[in-house]
Amino acid sequence: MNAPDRYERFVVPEGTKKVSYERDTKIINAATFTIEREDHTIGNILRMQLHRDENVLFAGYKLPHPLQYKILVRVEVEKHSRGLLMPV
Amino acid sequence: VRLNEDDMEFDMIGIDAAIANSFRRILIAELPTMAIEKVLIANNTSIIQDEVLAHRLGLVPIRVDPRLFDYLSENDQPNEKNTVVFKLHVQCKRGSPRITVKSDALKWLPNGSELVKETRNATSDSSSKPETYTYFGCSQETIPEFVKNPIIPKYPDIIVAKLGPGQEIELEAHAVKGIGKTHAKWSPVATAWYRMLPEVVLLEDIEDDLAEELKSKCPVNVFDIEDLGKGRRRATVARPRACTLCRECIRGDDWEKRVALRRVKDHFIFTIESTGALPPEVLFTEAVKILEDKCERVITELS
Repeated sequence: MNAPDRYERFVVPEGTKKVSYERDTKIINAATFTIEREDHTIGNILRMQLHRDENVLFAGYKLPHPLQYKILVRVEVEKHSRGLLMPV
Repeated sequence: VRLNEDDMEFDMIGIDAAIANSFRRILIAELPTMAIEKVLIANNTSIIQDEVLAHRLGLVPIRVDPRLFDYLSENDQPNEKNTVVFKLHVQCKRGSPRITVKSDALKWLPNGSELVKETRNATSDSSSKPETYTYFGCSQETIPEFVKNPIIPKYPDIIVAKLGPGQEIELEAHAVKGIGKTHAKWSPVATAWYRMLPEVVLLEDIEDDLAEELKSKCPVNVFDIEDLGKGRRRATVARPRACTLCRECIRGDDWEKRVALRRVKDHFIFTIESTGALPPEVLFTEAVKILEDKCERVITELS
């Protein structure tokens, strides 16, 4: 009854961006990426690839709630090495 | 390693656990298939309720390549590019014994729906064809793939319903493309799983009587005896792949020091059992493509 529609798990609604990025206020060189409508399938792979990079100090992902279909990926790099596009 | 018509077992070496799991998740939930979604029931006097019958029909696997079709969204009209229409008309006459309705009773209608829509206009223009529930431009039979392989359910002996004397079922079923995330009926695999290769390491040399004992303990015959000459025998690990990690070989005293059971961290043994729409090797290649697409999408959205 309260469950959201099943297609919400992968259809990005109009207006929201798929990937958004927020720098962390308290720690320098750390940021959180919010990826809409994705789950462990991509999240785990991203995290694994981030761990392979030596410049990365901290990499992790989580699903804040199983009924909200988005993942938060938190990355911290050392000395501002501008680590974007890791999984390439 | 093994490839039958419907299932497949193969090894992937050197990848990470995250990628193996992603493949498993994509195989189960994100590969598109065709399954019956809408059931238009003209007559159902059987004891199976309408919704139960529709649910059962949705779960029947259909032997058709989903890559030939497009998705049907809410605003689209069902046409030959996105719908497959089946008809089921079974009747049990009075006086004849009970009938079991199996899935081979579903007949494919390549020309689209035959049920006529009731239009409200009394002054309808006298078009030659009455309006039905689908708008097929051309018959699906003309598509070359379907000439050789008509669209039928994969397994003809799935019991859908049972009829007593005097009962009848007449319905039309529309199959559309979907993915397993929306509903499990659209999952193209019966299941897909992986396990990591077990590693059985003999920490010490195990000889003679101990070797015989070790070999007899294992229920799947992982160990073998090799002769060293001079009447001494040594145990070797012959078939680690068959090991089920039942731990029988380390029961009893002291065996823990002689045998170590581990898993090789990056050797995955995948097993894929397909429901029949696509052969398993095609399923896996499609899964790889879908993973690539997803990653591409995330990367392009980032920049």
